[in-house]
Amino acid sequence: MLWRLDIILLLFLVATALGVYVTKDLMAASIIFSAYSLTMAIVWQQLSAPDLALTEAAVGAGVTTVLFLITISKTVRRED
Amino acid sequence: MFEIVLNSITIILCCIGIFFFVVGTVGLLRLPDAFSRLHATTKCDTLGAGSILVGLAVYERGNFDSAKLLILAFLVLVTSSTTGHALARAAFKAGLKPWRKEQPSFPEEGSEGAVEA
Amino acid sequence: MRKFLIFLCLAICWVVFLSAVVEMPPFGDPANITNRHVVPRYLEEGVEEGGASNIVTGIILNYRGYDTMGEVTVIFTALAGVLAVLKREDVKTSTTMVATSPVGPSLIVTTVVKLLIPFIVLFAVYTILHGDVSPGGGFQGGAVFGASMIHYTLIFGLLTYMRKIRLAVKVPLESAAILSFAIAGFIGLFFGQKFLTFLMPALSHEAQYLLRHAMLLLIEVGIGVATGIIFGSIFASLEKVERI
Repeated sequence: MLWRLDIILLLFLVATALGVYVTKDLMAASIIFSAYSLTMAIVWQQLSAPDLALTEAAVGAGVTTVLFLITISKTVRRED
Repeated sequence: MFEIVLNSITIILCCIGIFFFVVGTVGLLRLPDAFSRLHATTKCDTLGAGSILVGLAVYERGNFDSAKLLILAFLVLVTSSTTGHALARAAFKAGLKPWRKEQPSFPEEGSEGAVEA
Repeated sequence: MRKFLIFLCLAICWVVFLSAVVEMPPFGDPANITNRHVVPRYLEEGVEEGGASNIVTGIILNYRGYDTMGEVTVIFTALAGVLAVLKREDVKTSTTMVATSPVGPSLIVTTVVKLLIPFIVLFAVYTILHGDVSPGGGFQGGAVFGASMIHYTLIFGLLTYMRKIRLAVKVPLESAAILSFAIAGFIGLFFGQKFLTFLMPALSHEAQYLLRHAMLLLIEVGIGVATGIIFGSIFASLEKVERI
């Protein structure tokens, strides 16, 4: 049963990575990137690496997104 | 007998949660402006995830894990409703006009809120 | 033409990587050459030698101690780079986006954040202190701690943060991770062993066990505090707005 969850998670991971690449609006891209990080945290948990899952959830989804958003709010929002 | 009752409570709560998730997703896709979409998606977290977590806590038969799940349900309830409030407030202060049903004088034009949002 | 060249290069890379993947040994096979020497040693003697029931913590801090020391130095260097480009925040010259924005903070959000911040910090402290028995450790707890400080600053403004965590406290704590590694390393030198070793044959068995735990705890707490404070400092120097 759980390998189906893994496949769904991996597909979602690929979709979010492509979404970050395609999106021109940087704010939307960083929010999609935080979704990528959360999915990655669940994948680490599925690979039985809870230490990495904790780090990924706290750093990737929490701190990095805030730093990106602060940087975007000080510079330009659109990518040309 | 008791087991059957507890299991059916779990199943009913999980079905309620899935129903709210589906309704919230449909609302996110179909509703016209940011405020009503926030209204729909906040239901996803509060009622959907909340009732699924409470159902899982019932499934765990009141041991330590179910206490953890209840704490999680409480945290999700508090934080996601606060997030919805903060987002809606930011959108309102940023000058986003709430969507209104189109005036009878312009029957053919689409709603303005949908275009802006 | 250019697109065709890009496509050709990607196709060549794809074929090379795919052939490498096909040649790789099967995933998770205990008979693999990589799983034959190091992994049994870690699994059989990691708890005894590493000093932590959580083998991951034992490997990270004990067997791969030099590696972790380098990572800690990398985080410290990142902070130094950020501070070299953007100046550190100052009460006199800088203000914050929350203070300059025309919209004040919402009462509901401030109340909920005030309610939740102690629990987040409690979880961070738990993760740091329980790193040797359960998943977690210095980096994880420190990241949660830093995220809690960032959220506090986002809601209550930079000036409150600067008033709560003063510069005289912050600057020594930013180097706490490297300092704790140095202290734990010099304990080994003090007993006539190598730098950053956890084996002291001069002591009795119980004393070694206690000393190993103490060193692990020291390093964990140092990494946790330093990571949290460094995240907070990077955020604060990004968040500040120069007052004109």
